[in-house]
Amino acid sequence: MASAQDGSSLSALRERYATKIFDFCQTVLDFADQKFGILPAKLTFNVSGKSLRFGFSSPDYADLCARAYLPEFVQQNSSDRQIRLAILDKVSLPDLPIWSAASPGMGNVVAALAERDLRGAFDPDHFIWYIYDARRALGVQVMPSFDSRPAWEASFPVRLLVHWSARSSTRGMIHAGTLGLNGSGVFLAGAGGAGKSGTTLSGIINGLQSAGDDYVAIEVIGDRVEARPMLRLMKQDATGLHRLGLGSTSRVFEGPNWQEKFEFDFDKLKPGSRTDQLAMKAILIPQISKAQTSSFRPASGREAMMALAPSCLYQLSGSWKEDFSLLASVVRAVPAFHLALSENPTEIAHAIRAFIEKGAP
Amino acid sequence: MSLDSKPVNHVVASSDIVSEEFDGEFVVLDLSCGKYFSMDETASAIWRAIVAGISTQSLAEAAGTEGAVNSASILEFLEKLVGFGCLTPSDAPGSTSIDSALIQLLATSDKPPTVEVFDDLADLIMADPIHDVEEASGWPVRKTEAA
Repeated sequence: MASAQDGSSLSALRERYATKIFDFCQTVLDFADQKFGILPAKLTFNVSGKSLRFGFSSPDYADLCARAYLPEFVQQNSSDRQIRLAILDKVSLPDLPIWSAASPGMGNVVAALAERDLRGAFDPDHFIWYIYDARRALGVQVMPSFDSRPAWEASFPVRLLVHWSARSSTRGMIHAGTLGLNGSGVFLAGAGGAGKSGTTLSGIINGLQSAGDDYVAIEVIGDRVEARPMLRLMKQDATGLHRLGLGSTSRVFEGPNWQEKFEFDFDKLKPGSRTDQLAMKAILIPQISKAQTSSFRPASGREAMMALAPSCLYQLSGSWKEDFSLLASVVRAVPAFHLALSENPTEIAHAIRAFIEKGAP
Repeated sequence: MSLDSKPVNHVVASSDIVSEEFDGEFVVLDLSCGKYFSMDETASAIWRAIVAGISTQSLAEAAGTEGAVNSASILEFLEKLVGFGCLTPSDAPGSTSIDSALIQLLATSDKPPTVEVFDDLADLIMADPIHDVEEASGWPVRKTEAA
């Protein structure tokens, strides 16, 4: 049985470890601050109204971001400081500080930095650090090499730094699909495999618009929620494309990727399908059913929160407390419905169109 | 169940326990371990009372000994939340001012309080190399390395 002395010793050790993590992250931030100006590739994106200046030690990573993000060069508020995000790798920058001790866990890094007004995370499988200092408007992603990035990085590169730097108490990102019409829209929320991406793609094929099928930027304004696109691509596997009458051999489709899914610019697949902004009217929780026609029934706020929060917080780590609160404000502002999906993609799209136009049947 | 011995009070275990309410139902998230707790209406009413500082004894007495929600089921539910790490026993005196709506809900509920647990985030958070460190040698020497 552990004694009080053991507990005290463990606590002291934990504190030393947290201090070590913090010191390392400060060293890396200082390094990024010094090197940012000479990084060989730079890009600027506007996300959630904030101007994000990316600097890359590897130009290949700049290509990755240019492929994934929408090139939105909106005039920023002159009072806003541009946020610098440095994506650094040890191969390109051999003098990059390295963490030479035992790999920390995600919880260690999040807690150690949150206590010291930084955000951070660590991916122990790929040995990648993510660090963000809001006071310096500076973030850094540190990895062993360009090739050591996770397979899923291409779909949404630098996601944690973008998530932390672009968020506020009323703005952030949400992991959900979207469909809309004439400026009004719905979220499609739920666990993987529930039919979010297929339903989104079916919708745009059948004349609806979308801000994205995976991650979208959101803003909660009182009792209104707005969604905006930030990513260019959607994903779908060959079976899903075939189900919608689409052949994966078209030049629009790239891949398949690590998930055996084809990636595509949905506005090229269906010109005009990407909307700049949607006023969100409902959270739909799709579920695959064998019914002849799709149907809607009210869902509780608790059910909507459980459909949205787990995947959002899993995919967008490091600011769980604030994101939990932001998601709750979305759920309170927008009614939720279960959507029992029929087996007919066109019928599903028409049902959602009618829902957006007229509300719940 | 006899309330001859005064039950201990309960408080939210730590600042890592955050909760959000939706039309009378709570979703609770433990930031330290990544577990979610989804509470039905009765469980949520009890959670709200505990967060408001109502004493355990007052809650149990308000529920009485009859019905689906009674003193025994409330104490059992609170112990379950202690086991989950959401609540912790407390010596602090609790409030006795239970509102009539809560008493009515406890009296009319047809099932005991229920909470569903989800651990989607747990594997992201729980890895903790501190547990693997050999204290005699000092960090960062791992136990396996020191052995």
